[in-house]
Amino acid sequence: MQINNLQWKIGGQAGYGIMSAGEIFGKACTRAGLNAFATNDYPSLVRGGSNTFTIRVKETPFSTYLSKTNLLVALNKETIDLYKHELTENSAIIYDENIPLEEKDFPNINLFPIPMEKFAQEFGYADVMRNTVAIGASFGLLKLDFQFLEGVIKDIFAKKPKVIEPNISAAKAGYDFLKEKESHYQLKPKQAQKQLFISGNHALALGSIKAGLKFAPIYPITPINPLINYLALKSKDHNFIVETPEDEISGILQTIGASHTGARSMVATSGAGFSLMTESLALAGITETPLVILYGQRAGPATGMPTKTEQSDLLFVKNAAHGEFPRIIIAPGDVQECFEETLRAFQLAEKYQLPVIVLTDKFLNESIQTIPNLTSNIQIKRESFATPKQDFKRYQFTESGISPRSIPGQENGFFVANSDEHDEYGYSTSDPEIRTKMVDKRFKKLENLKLPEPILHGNPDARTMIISWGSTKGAILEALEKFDNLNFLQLQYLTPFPDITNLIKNKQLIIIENNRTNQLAKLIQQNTLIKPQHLINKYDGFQFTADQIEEELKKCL
Amino acid sequence: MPIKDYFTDIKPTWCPGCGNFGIRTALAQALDELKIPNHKLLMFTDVGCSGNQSSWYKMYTFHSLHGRSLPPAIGSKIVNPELTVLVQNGDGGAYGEGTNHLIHAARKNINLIYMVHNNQRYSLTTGQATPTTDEGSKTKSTPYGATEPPINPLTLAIASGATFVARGFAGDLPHLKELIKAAIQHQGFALVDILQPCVVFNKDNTFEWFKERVYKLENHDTSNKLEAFKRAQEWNGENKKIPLGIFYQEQRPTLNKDKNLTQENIENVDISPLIEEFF
Repeated sequence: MQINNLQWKIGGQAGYGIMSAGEIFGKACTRAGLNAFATNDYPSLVRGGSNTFTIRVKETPFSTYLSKTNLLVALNKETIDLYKHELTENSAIIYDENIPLEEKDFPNINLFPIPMEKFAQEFGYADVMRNTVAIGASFGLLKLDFQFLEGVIKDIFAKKPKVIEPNISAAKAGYDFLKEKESHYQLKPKQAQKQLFISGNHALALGSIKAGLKFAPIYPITPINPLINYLALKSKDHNFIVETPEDEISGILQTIGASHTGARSMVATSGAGFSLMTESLALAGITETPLVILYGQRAGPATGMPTKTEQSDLLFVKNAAHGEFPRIIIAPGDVQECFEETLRAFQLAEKYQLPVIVLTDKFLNESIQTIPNLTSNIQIKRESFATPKQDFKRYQFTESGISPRSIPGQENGFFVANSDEHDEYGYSTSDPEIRTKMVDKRFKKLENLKLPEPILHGNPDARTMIISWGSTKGAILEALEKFDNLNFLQLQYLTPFPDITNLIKNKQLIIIENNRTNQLAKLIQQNTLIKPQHLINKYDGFQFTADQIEEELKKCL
Repeated sequence: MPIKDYFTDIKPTWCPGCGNFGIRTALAQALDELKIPNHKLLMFTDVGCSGNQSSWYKMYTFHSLHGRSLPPAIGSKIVNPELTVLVQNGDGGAYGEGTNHLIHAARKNINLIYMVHNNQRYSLTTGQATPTTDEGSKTKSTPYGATEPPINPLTLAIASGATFVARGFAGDLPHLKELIKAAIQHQGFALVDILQPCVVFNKDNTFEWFKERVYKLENHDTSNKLEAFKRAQEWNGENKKIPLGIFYQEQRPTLNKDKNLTQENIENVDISPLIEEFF
């Protein structure tokens, strides 16, 4: 029997509440003292198609999923057809009794037809409550005390009290229907500290609020839509403004304008939107306006697979926009890092007066994870502001490259924020000497920049080293447990590129990336002149699972 | 204060006789008469002849990208409504590259002043046709005559929801100054389209050409949207009389918030109440 170690997957057509079902299931597990990781998959449409939420549950912290599923919950036949191949021995399918299945087609799999639609109808809302019956039935089969689910339903529907009782009744009906059945997989509550069950998008949003966000003009795009919606909802009570601009060009420029005026501002987007923003990125670069961009990658090119994940924009973000100017690119690896690195992004952008891009992906933005809390030691404070006297030089040549900054409204602080090359006052110039000094001044800021060191996970003396970035972290960490002579260097800061030559020389290198063209491997080679021996790639729209990485590693070792 | 106190010591690079000089003077006179101190002024400019003036004003200026003077101005005004935000554009940037921003700034009724130096040419790039070039005009990019009808900025702005729509002329500074003053005093999005003959690249629409045609709107009800549309279309028709003045004005809530968000203490934002729902 497997206790507290399983992967649950629920699937049905869009509009059946699959997304909220995933959230409810994971939250109930979290409240039972367990750790959950939930990742969704959905097509780009509002109704129909096939939505799934895959949730893995373990006792210890983790942030990845597996290619194999132990309990499949099907609200429609298509879910079974699509995911039957993922089922392990002793696994089970909970499905609506109206779906015709032949037991002989499912050897070694326990079939549990349940009256999902009937119960849902009986307690009120047939279309939207099938999922509740299904979650109830799941916990009944898995033997997790009903109180956890009941508590979550009460909290999730707190603002719609009318639907609480029907949902609890529907869940209970499902629960009782399967609670006496035998199951190889079970969940047992553990005594533990209260933990959060939170997505990358929410962690990014909370990071920005904590960092003093005042203005966020964000154009909708997958995968940052939940971030917009959350910020918009909280803006009124927390004293910041969320606007929908007419396009991404306006979005980034409104951000630059607001930031220029002294308000902490940010924009969020994905590849398609960022492509439109690139000219303005250069504007932030030359005017030295603090700029925070949250960038959730998705599978391109062009519209690509807009609801699928990929890490294929690293070199694009690194090189985007015309001309040369400094920027910082940060790639968080999990939900907690999303929070902390957003705080860092705001501090760095303001202190060094340049664009800072927090580069995530659909997998990290939309996955939900159990974590202890959102924490950070980063101190939030205003940086680099001046009290201008007469003759104020906004772009003064300084030792650090950082010049004092005034904001509109301050007396004696006039300057030109100039998209043209300019002198120390901001006045346009094409004087070759000033031009050269000004370019150097802007780049000097990077020389003094102190970023945390890359994180080395696992045995520091191992001969073979994995190097990766972003949301591959969880899967790599889990795969790493299976190998002794292997460690993992996680790069969170990709521009400016960290000095890793001493760390990686004389090691066998394995680079793991969710893209086709080995973008990190290219950066490593370019910066260290060391050519990695092994490259592991994936670009099918899904992030690696822990077992896939384990298999790939075996081929390299 | 003397209008020269709104200017830096840098000599403008505009051509002798350029209408931009007059617009600049009219603006400074308007600011002086309204007694707006320099440090409360934030001016955004586009790229092009009018864009180059960012270095010539003693105030906070922001020389933006081509077609993109409005969006950063919107961001600034939203976070600090205490500033007087002026936006200066050419016709290429305003009605070509940046038209989308005009439509939505008007719709959202952002409280700022959008002055468009309309010379019907891309002059800094040596005189190609813009969206406001007259049909038939021969320019560098339309050597056989422009084949498309020009855009009508005034009807576009009115249709988009602009709450102040006016046309001025760089050849009539006292009138232009009054228009700019009214635009600044207006609470909401104010478009002032300014006929500004390019003395180098526009041999069709010269100062003389305009002087023969312009006249001032009188007995016009600026609150009547249909009438405003009608008057704004006079220059479209056979009758080549060109009305100047305020075509349309209404009071409508602006997008801008009342609060200056730039000065708030952000050091100890407490997110613990927000985190609660994730437990």
